[in-house]
Amino acid sequence: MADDAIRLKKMANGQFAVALRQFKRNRMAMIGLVMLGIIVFACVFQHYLTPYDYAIQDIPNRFAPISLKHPCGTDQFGRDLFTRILKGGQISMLIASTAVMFAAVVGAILGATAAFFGGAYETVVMRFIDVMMSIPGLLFAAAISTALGDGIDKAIIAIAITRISNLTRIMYSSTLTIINQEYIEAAQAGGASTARIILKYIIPNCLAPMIVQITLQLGITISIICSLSFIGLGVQPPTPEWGSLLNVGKGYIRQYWPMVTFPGIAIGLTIICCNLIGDGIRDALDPRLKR
Amino acid sequence: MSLLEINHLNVQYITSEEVAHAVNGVSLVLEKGDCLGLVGETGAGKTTTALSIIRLLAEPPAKVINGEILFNGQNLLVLNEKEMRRIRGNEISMIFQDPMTSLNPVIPVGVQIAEVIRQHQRCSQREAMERAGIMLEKVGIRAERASEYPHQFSGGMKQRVVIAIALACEPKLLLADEPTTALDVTIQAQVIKMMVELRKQYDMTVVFITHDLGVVAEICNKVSIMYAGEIVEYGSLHDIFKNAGHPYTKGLFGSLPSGGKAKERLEPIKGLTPNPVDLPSGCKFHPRCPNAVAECREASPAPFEVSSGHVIRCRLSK
Amino acid sequence: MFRFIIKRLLLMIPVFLGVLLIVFIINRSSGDHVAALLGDSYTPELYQEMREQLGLNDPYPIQFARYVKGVVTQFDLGTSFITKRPVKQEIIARLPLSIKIAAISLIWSVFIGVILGIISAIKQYSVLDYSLTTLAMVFSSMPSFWIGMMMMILFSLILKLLPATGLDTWKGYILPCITLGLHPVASFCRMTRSTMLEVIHQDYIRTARSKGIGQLRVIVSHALRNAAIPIVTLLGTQMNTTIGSAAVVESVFNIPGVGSYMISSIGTKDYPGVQGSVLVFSMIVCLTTIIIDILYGFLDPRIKAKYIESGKKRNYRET
Repeated sequence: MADDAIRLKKMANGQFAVALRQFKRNRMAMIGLVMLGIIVFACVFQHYLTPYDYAIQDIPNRFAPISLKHPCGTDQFGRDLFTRILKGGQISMLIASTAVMFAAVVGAILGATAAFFGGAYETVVMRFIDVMMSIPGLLFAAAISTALGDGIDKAIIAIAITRISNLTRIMYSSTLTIINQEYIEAAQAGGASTARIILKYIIPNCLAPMIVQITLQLGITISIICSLSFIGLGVQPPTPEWGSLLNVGKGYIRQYWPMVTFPGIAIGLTIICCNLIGDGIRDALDPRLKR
Repeated sequence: MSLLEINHLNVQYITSEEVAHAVNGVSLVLEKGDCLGLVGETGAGKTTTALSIIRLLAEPPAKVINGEILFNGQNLLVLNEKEMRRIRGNEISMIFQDPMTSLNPVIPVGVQIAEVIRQHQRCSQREAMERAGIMLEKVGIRAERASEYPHQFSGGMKQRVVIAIALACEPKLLLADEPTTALDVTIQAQVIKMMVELRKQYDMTVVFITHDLGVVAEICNKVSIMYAGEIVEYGSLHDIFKNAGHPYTKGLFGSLPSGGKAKERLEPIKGLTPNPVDLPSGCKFHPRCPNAVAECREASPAPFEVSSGHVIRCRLSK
Repeated sequence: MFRFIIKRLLLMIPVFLGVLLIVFIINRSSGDHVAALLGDSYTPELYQEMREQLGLNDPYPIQFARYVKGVVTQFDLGTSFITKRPVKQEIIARLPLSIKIAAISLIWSVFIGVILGIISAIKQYSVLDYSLTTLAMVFSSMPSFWIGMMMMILFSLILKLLPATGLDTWKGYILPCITLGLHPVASFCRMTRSTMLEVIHQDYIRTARSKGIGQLRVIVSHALRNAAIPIVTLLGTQMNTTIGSAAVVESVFNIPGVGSYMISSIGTKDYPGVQGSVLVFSMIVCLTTIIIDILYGFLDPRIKAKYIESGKKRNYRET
């Protein structure tokens, strides 16, 4: 009977190969993946891609018109906006991905253990998650930021805390579904230890919905970090994080529109890519959508 | 004039990849008061035929290629949607296979029955609800339960509600698509018994689709055997059960376990039901037929009347 | 029915206490309130005195109990560092406007979103369907406050059709309410579309058609009644996110609501102002969640039955 369980798990691995093929066939998802790749590449290698430095001021050139020299114009200190957007992308995406990863690990542990061990522990954890979900994400992050202060590391923690609840929920319901399956009973009857069951059966099978949720949360988190910086928390100028670029640009909206327009386009494009990829993964892993 | 007359009906399911020939030249005649058992395996085209009569086919991908369906002399296939809606639920009703999902879960059952009454007959909501209560009693459910929701009923009772809805406007023709297949055997017996009584009460004509010959024996007086979208044999109940002519029909009976002959082995028909996308040439049953000859592969046999009212499509029946 | 409502209300109390606990923890972690309140008149003696007065030397559970009592009985949300006056005065004064804007935005987005979703589902695979789906996707990916700023540039600065900020005339409401409603309308459209597509293929729709009922009635009476349930769920989550975006949108369009108060408090480092605003917003979310859960009972008879029978909470908020 334990053999059946292992064979089922091997089938699950084959399932990933099938899902990968399905994903590759999804044109929109692939476009999203390629675009995101380009964006990440451009931001990471900003230093080599543009001739300007993101921090050095060039006052005579402030508010320059859009041209090939300055495809997004310049800001109030003459710094090239395109360069600052690319640099800002590093920061926004770093914060977002770190926060989501952190929340995913905590959420996975909380959700899996709550489902697995049950009892009072489960009730307390899930009630707590309910409470956290009652506080709107952005406001929660804002409130926590008031306690922690400014800076990239503080922002990561504040946002990560707000993302834990969704990921815990997903892990919790996936785990609940799986531990009720018969192959777990079979494994236990075969003498497998709790740790082995968690590692070999629960985690691989919960991976799929978690990955989908992580990708979708990535988009939401980018939005939150940008909103947070926009309202004056999170990351502040002169660090060129996308949200803080918009915050500064808002002050000049009447005389120079590029400062609010281009960072926003960058944010939107990145989030669209994350959503396309997330939808693509979800469709690829959905057994009902067999062509 | 017969109540229902189908002439050379051809229905296909056309997708971008393939064409499935679901119904191929089906013809049948139903007189008032008949109960026709439409028998065949899954995929034989029985449901498609019934859906064509009541015009509930999903029009892409389904397409009626040609043929006519005459109901009291009127060709249903040329009616527009508005005219057809006047017939559905009113003159022709259909009940489907799975009672668990056939009822709207958020509307009380009485209201669902009253809905069909109000759709076709002028009366107030209160009157319609009263008549819904009467229909419930007729199918063996207490009228007070009209305000309850489907989830509060068991499978068998849900199917009774479905029957109540179908019969509420006293239709002339009832299409029953495997109404008892999804039920437990004991519940099945109850529902069949109820349907036999109701049929007598309403003097209703029924097309009863099933793959279960036992059920056919209880309720039908005529039988049509369908295979790969064609009617391969039809006749009275007696004709089919006592003098089956087509090899497929004989095969169906041979596959049944029979109480008396416990010692003999079952003889299933060898092979599988053909894929409607890729039907065999000539007689569609020839790959599985123990008596097939070379001609059977060439051309489809014409229907041959073996005795009065008993027709078989097999060149070896002559 | 009554029992169901009471049960739901009771279940909300622990959640509410939990929210208070979180805000309390954040409040006590956000720096030295006493020093901020004293400001220039700081002396060590005054400092200790004030700490005693505010009960900050008591053990935390007692402080929390006092905090909860303060919120529940007097709606005490803290004292502003800047104005030295209760935060609740400012918040209560601004609350009606915030609610008005959020309500208008949600109402129009529900109507338009659901209708567009139904149309999209009925005409699946058509050009209209594809364009609506794409538009919905694009709009929900862009930060709504940014779209708001873009619209401000277009309609106020370039076209000069609408006022950029302020609510002097009814025209001033247009841009903020459209901006705030953009994400919800996209979500409602997508959700309605996918739910309707699922519902339309259900067997009971086929039964309804076989009764001779017309297309419109099938959609409204049968399909929509079932699709309403997940749509109402979405209303709950959208409440949550909309209130979050409301703060930012208010700041963009200079609307004197609770949201912009919160943001200006951030600017002046007036932490009680921020925390008080967050608390009020969370309370609104809790309240709407209860209302929506009660609405479920009316919409889905199975839920009401489950609730009354087992007393267990079924959660539809999983995505």
